[in-house]
Amino acid sequence: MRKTASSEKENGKKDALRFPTNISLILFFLRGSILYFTAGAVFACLVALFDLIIPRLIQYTVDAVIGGNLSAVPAWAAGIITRLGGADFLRRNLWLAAAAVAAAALAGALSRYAFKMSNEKGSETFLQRTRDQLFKHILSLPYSWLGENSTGDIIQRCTSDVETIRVFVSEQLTSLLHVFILVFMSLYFMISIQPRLTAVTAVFIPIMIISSLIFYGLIGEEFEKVDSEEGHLSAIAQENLTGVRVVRTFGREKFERERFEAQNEYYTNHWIRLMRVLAAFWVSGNVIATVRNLTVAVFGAVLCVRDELTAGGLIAFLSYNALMSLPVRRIGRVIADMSKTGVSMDRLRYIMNAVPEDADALVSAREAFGDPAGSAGTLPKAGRTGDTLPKAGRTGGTLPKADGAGERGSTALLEKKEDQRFAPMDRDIVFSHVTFRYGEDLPEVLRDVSMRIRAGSTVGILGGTGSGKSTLVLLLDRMWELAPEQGTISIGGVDIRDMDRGWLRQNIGMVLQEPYLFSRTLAENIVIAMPDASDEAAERSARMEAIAKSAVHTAGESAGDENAAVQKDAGYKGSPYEDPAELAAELEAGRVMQEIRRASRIACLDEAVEHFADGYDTFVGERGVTLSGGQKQRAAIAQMLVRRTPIMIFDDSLSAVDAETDTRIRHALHKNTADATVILIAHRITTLRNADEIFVLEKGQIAEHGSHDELLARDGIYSRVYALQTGGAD
Amino acid sequence: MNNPQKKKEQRRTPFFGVPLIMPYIRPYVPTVSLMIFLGILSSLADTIYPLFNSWALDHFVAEGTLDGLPVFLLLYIGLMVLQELDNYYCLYQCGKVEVEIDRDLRNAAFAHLQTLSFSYFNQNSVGYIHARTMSDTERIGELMAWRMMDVVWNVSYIVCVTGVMLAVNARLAAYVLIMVPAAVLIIMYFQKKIVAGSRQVREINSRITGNFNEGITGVKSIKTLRIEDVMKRDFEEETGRMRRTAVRTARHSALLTSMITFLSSMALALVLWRGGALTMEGVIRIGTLSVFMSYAVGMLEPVQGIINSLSALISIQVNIERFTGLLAEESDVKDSPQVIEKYGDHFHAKRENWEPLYGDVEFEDVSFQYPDGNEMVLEHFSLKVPRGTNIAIVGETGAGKSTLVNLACRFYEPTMGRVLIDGRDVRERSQLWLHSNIGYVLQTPYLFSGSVRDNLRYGRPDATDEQIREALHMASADFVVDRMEKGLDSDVGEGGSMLSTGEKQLISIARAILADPRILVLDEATSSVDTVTERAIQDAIAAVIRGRTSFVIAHRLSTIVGADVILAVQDGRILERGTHRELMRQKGYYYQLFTRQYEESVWAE
Repeated sequence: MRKTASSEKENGKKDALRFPTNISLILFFLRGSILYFTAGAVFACLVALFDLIIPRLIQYTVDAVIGGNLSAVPAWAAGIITRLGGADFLRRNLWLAAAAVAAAALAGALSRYAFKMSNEKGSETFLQRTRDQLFKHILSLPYSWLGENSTGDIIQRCTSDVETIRVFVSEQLTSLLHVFILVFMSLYFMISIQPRLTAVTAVFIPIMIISSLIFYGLIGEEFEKVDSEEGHLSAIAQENLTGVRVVRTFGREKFERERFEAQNEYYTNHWIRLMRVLAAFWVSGNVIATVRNLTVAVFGAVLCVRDELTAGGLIAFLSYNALMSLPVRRIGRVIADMSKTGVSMDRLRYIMNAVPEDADALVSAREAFGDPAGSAGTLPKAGRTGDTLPKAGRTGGTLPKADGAGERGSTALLEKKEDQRFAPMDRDIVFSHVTFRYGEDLPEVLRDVSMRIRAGSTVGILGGTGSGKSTLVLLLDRMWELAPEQGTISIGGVDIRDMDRGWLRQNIGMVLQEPYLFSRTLAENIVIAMPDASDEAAERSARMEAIAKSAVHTAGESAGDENAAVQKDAGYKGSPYEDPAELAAELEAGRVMQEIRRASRIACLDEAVEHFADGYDTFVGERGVTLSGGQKQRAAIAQMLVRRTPIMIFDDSLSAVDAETDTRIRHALHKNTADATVILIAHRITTLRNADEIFVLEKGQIAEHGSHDELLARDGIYSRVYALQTGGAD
Repeated sequence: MNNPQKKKEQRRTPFFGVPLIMPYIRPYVPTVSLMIFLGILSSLADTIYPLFNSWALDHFVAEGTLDGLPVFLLLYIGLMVLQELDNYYCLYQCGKVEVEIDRDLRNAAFAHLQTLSFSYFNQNSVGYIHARTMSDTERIGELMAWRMMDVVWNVSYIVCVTGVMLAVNARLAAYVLIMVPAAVLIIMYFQKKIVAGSRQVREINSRITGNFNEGITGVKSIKTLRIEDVMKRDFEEETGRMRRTAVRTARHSALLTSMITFLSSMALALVLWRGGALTMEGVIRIGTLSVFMSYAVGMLEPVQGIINSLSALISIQVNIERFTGLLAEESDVKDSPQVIEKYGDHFHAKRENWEPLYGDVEFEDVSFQYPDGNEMVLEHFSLKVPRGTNIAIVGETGAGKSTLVNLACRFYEPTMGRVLIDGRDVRERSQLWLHSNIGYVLQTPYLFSGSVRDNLRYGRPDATDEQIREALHMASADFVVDRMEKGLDSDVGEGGSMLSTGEKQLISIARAILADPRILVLDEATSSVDTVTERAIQDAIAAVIRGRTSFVIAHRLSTIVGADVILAVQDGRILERGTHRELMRQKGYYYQLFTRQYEESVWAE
């Protein structure tokens, strides 16, 4: 595991964690949804109330109206009956009683609907906030953090662990609450009918809960075993499929089949054993419930005979028992499942407690200059700096105001630092004694590298595999942070560590060795980092949304329109535009499309695009068309060109295109990047030969530098490589 | 991957596709019949319980006597015991039938996969095939067993309750039954919307997972492009959409639940009204009224259960079709019945009839086109490889270097022409015969989870430890095993994850040596290994190809300078063939490749 200087630092700061406990995390995620859940709890009470009132109404009807025994009901109920015209009147108009039941049922149905909707809204809002926060936080984390943690693991945390917590909040807690209300209220109602019979019923509640708890505790382990056996079976299938060539070439089909069948049998038998236990549990639950009903019926009958209970009261009791039965039986499962939640919360806390890259810069600034606000716990909101950032500019003349500074509490020193945060970028880049390693016990990748890259010049860096070329530019972009003792990199005399990271990256265009295309159209990929274009897109998409919303609204609440809206959502493919044709039309007319075409022409991407049926609207990335390595590189170059950054870096970006295209791209680039500072990394000398200065990097050190001709005159690595690449190797 | 799915869309089978898997269900028909019978009995018992309560009301409560209480108790408990025994059997058998059907389906799928040729595995991702084998089968078993029992229980409950109600008082029964068609209409109306809504939610959800994945794997680009805000905004749009869609779907299901419980209560109110009147008229007794009220409350849940189960049953059609589609997949490399007759099939080798293999390989006027490709990658290609010859194949990644090897190993068959092994068409002998004599060291070495010994013995299950040691020594892989704590018993982890790539390479070479094949294929690793290991691997390769017919797919050209024949491949075609010296003299493609690598080696000095 690689450890960076910054991650070491965060390890030492365990006490200042953002979320010290699971509770703090869950409360953070609950913001915005807690009101829904509270409303849900209130409605849940109403649901229970109305559900429980109905048996009561029936009881009164049966006893006082049908039975004609007014003394069997409480005084207030008798009063109502009398006021309504007396039992006799009601006997003639029994529909009134039925209407009362129906009214309670309607109220119950409404509160049930309200309960379900509030809970569901809460649940979805919670899910949305949790995911948004996680995603936002992950994007703000240092590059090194993502290197140290496996992608699959993080994604699992963001999906299944989030789901576990959502279920906990919106289903488990809710059903616990629900059972609690139901039990409490039905006990209350029952006591008012017959206290002793209530006691008999109440005895069964703990029995049911405890038996279900014991059971789920018991089978929890069994379930895990079955799960792991299933995992083994699945792994055998997986290995067989992945290693299909090995299986075939050794002719071990029979062995594989036998192995699979043996594990399959084992797993199945495990299940069958578990089924026996499960069946026993369900049956035992049934037995308890039936025995309880029997007890209530018999004991109730005895009480009736003794005139301590009415027929209506007994019917009500039986109904209450039936109402409580299922929820109480489920509670064991809920409690057993809840134990998983803690683990999931810990796993999310691990992500949320990782320190964002901008935060550690701030923390170190605080350490250096004191923290007047004394608020170590409040980290700046990630993305904040991004929102207030000025547009990329190449002059230092108009320095933007650092709006963010005030709210963070500033001292004079801090403010001075603030000035440097947005320092001009069209200046000389100076590496001074840069030494770097990726981890404590890893070898040095760069050793005492010093070089000056003049503003507006083109510099080539030549080096073999593992010579540290890529590291050099990643350091310049602050993807890795240099510790103070590891040397400095400065632009126009300002240490890049004092600069705003967003500002820095916004002004450095970098084409990576292995470019990544996002799941969008080619056009969207190219303009993705073009500030104006994305602003326009955002505005446009907001406008679209408003239009869509008002359309739905004016059309009324009819189900048909809702459907149309659903379909619209479903047809959406991750593009901020509602309709690809609309996008094409708008872009075609606009400056954005011109820019895309210009950049594509320089990057020699335009020819490739012509071959795509959908042109620039071709959907690429993981879920789209797969581009070849060379096409990806060219798309990435176009993507960088539209940014018009004052610093441009090509990290071996032409490695996958053929020599002829390479030449054409270089010529086009040369014409179009005249006033930018360009850093070219390559191992093909033809790519570099026209550079103003070439640095030859060998094993982390600068072995030689100079212009092409100077280097050739020297009998060094450069001249040898040149000889190899141009002449014979024999 | 798209094609097979599309093919399946067009085929629609009657009865939810269940007849297609009948062979796998037939063994369980007797058990299932008994389960259905017992399920009906259990529902009958459920119908009877309220009658007990009603009798208690009418007899004990109304008449104010406790006469007959012991008999009442006895009958009640007797019924309970019988019903729960019945339930226990049904539940247990149902679960058992479920997992047993699963098991049978999985076995069938897995066994069939073992007979399919590489083109199937190349055209379908591991995840896709894995899901067919594991998830689809599981769903089929679950739905067949549980959903069917649900339908049995619920239908028989409704029938029994209806019967009892009609028998007791037909008019009152009508008030309860009138709710059923209303409920059916409502449920079916919402069901469709809920199913469609959940599908949308699932789709958005998988897109969100995709976004997470993009945010993490694309982090380098995101940061260097400084587009965190763009990514964040798009992500939030997606989660917002998810919330809206999910809430919309939830509205349907909340409406459904509320309306069904309301309908139940309406039935109850109706019974109270009309039944109450009947009670006062003395037509029915109070107990009967209570029994009708219980039925009224309990009637609609089974209706909902039936509709849910039916819609779930309809949905397994997809799973069944995927499963049967897998089984219907035919291998494009197949042994003829005569060959199977003589040499045996994939699982039953008739080794007594196997001839020895010497290793003469000949391509005779071979033309070849990949099943999923649209152009010939070989045209009228002929090459004689006498036993013991060392062939090297070079070219860039993705140039199609493995085509020849795939043909020689009969992973594919030539579109035209013949491949001969020891002078006889490769199709005249069984695949297993050929494969048992071929050793293949893969570019990305693949080890199975288990011990080092298990892995080494994969190609020769009866090898002794001594032979294993010998093979390890020949492959210069002793140090790998010596380094590990438990020696040969050490676990290599899933896919060999406990070992480095270089070590895996060495172990897989030793594995090939141990199998002692006559024909050996070596696909050299592209990933870089440290110098010591690389030297070891090269020595091992040199040792292992001696005396065998070998095909080396080379990336480091220095290894193959001494090969008998070098084939240089570009864009799937063989451009040049000859010895190293001949090809260097040609100054063609091979020359280019060779000099480029040489140049890289300058840096490594």
